Amino acid sequence: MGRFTNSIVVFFERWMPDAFVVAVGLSALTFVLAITTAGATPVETITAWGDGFWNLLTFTSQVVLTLLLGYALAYTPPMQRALKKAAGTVKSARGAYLTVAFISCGTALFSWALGLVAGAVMARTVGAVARDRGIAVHYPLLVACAYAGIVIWHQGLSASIGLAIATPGHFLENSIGIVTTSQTLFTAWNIVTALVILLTLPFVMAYLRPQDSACRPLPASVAAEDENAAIEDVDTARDTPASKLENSKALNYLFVLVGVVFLFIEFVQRGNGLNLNLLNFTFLVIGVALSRSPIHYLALIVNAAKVVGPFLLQYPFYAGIAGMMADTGLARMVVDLFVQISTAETLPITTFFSGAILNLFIPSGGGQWVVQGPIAMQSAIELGADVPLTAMAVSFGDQWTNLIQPLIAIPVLAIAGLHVRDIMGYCAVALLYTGPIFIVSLLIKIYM
Amino acid sequence: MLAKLTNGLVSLFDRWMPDALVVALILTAITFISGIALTDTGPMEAVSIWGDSLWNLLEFTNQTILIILLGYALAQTSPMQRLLRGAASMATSPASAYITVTAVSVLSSFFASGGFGLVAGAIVARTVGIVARERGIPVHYPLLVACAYSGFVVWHQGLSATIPLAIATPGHFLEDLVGLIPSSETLLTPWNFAVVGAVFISLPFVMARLRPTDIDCKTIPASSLAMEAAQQETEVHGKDTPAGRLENARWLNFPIIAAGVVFLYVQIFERGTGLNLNIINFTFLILGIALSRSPVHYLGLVMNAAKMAGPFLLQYPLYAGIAGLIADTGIARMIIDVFVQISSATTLPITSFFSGAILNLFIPSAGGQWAVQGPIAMQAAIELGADVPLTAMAVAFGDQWTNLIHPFLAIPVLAITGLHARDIMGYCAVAFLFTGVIFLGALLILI
Repeated sequence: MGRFTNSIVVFFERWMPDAFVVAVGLSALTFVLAITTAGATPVETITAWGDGFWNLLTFTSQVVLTLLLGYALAYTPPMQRALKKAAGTVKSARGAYLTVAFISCGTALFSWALGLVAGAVMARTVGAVARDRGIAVHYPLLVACAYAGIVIWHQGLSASIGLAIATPGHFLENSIGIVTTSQTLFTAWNIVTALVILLTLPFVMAYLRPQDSACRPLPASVAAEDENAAIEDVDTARDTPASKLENSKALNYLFVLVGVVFLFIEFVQRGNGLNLNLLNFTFLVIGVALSRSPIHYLALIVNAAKVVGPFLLQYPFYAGIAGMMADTGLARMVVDLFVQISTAETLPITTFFSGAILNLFIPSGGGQWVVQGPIAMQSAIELGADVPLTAMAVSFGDQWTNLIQPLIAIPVLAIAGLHVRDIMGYCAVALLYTGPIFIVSLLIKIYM
Repeated sequence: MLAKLTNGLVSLFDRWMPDALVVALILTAITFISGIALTDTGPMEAVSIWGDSLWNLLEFTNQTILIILLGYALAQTSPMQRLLRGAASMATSPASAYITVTAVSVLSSFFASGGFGLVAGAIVARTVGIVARERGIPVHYPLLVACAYSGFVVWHQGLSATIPLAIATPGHFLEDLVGLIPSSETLLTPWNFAVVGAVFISLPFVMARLRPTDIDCKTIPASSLAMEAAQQETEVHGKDTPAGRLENARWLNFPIIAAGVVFLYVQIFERGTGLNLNIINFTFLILGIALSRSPVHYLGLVMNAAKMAGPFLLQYPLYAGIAGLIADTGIARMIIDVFVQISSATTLPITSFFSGAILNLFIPSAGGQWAVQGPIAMQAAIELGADVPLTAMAVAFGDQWTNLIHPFLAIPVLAITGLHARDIMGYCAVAFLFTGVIFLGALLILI
């Protein structure tokens, strides 16, 4: 196992380019496939690419805000104390990997975005504590643990597909009706599958750790940034009315008061669940509550903003890929191919694999469902397969290959201060481990 | 006299103008309280309206951030740096520096778009500021940045003007009321050109006259220069692995550029789409990649610019909340109604100018403002028998005018130049007073 892991890690370190290069490479691959197999002309394909390029602006803003607000929240003084205290309980390298992986998986079940931010911030804090105490923790593996939770997000409370098909008026309502979450997310089968991964994956990740002598601690440059953030203080030297306002805690209290009232209205009176906007709002209100003044919070935000650049640049490229795949019919071909070789029994399995492949090109769960949903649901009805199960199979496929899709890892890497090639080897092992679990789980459900 | 006025305003703003974030919070509070006090909206209802509106501008937020990020990254590529520095070197005296930056800002706001004008003006101001610092030319950097922002005051008369373009578009939401009003009655009238021309000819010289004595000049802050220093250090790593070679491969840029050029051709020539934010962003992206050494080099330029996105991402939702509050509680309607009630056919354009100016402080997005003010202003124009195209343009004038004293729209400029709102707002206030006279004079002559 050690040798196997090692060779995979070395392979990715050598061959895995930056996530932006992967995005460009996938764009080129989609372009070539659209022309050679889907029969689109080059100009048509480029037009589809350009038209799709800005399709995900709203979603990108939401995710960027989650990162920004979540990161700023993590750096408020009380949060820093709490995180350091929690990280301080870690006494061994094994404990470090287990802690980070559990937090990542557990929070990802609430919300995938929360999972990414919480896992990454925790990995960074644990990494710093281990560095200070001389515990031999391999930081790249620790960050891979922080990313591991993304492999079960689509079975949790923020699952795009499971929630979409339970919402009245969803775009496939005519063909499949409303599929309630009691048929998908809240089945015992789904919960058990998620639990199996939640309870075993952290141990598998911890098992991958290299010998103490081969451990690379948190890079000094990243550790130094932490200290900067800690000592960076706001300019309170100016003695003007404007400066008094900027440093007034009263403004924070007022904002928090109104914010809490709105959260009450949303969660209690309206009974809304957690969505990205609400998650962002919650982060914002808590962040303001825990900072010293408006200008202090702004400084935390400015400090956090450095992590959003790669995401803002690369998301449009994936929107372009999705545009090409949808408009030229390429995505349809991929799904059709898998449907043609399927029967009522095997459809969930083939859907799992087609979902897994499609996810590499369309990493957004919702975006993928728009492309794959209509075809998968239509074939489930025609072949007489289990409709809720087929929908869940798409979700499984989607979350599974997230482990080797660098776009989703960008937030974690940006916060942790690592390069994608550093963690992908370990993520690939997690991919190999979780794949059989998903397939066995689907098989059990089919023949149960 | 001008010097005294300028000094007074500059120290007033320096003392009293808090950070743009605090301004947003105070405006929220004012809107919230007046919404409850002046209308029959309850506190809980007001909180709901506010919370529901916060995320209304997410798409626009992203577009605006990208124009800053991609525009700045483009300006940081080596060929653009040479070009910009070459151009900046031609400003050999302080006066010529101020005049050049203001003129660039006015022209790009008018011909390209407001957003482009902000970024172009800011980047030129920054480069001129750096070159002036190196050469020891006494240029007051805060005034230079105010110059970069001042040209924005003509954007709503230019080629990206939201209101005139909206009412010229078939199917616009007031078509039943006012029909289609072609640009030839609004933007392309001789008087509109005359107003812009007057601003273009006079504003650069007014701004240049505001300059302090040489010893009072503040150069570009050293902290802001750190961004350029960080840029020089963006090192190229690990060329010894296949992955590293790929990351540093210039040829990887070529397919993106080729596809980008084809798409721009399709969009602009075959489909005849006009300039919008998405096309500007796309053009910045393709140009930026074309002028960078490799995809990863370009990514480094964007990451370096990303720090600027923070204040924006935080404050856009707050303004979306304010706009939601002022529109949905009925406050906006009340303000406009007050102005309409005191108006006659002749004075309506003047009162619309002022109500537009006030409303803009709460709803900085022009489209959002028109959605609230358009129906009332147009209805009043028809009932009073006032000039409809002129009234629409008066709202546009009011909208662009108070931008000068609004820190929100200055955020891109401040982010790129590394200054605070309080540093430039005093000078902007002088430009505000000056252009107010021009706009009012123009409206008076026309009616």
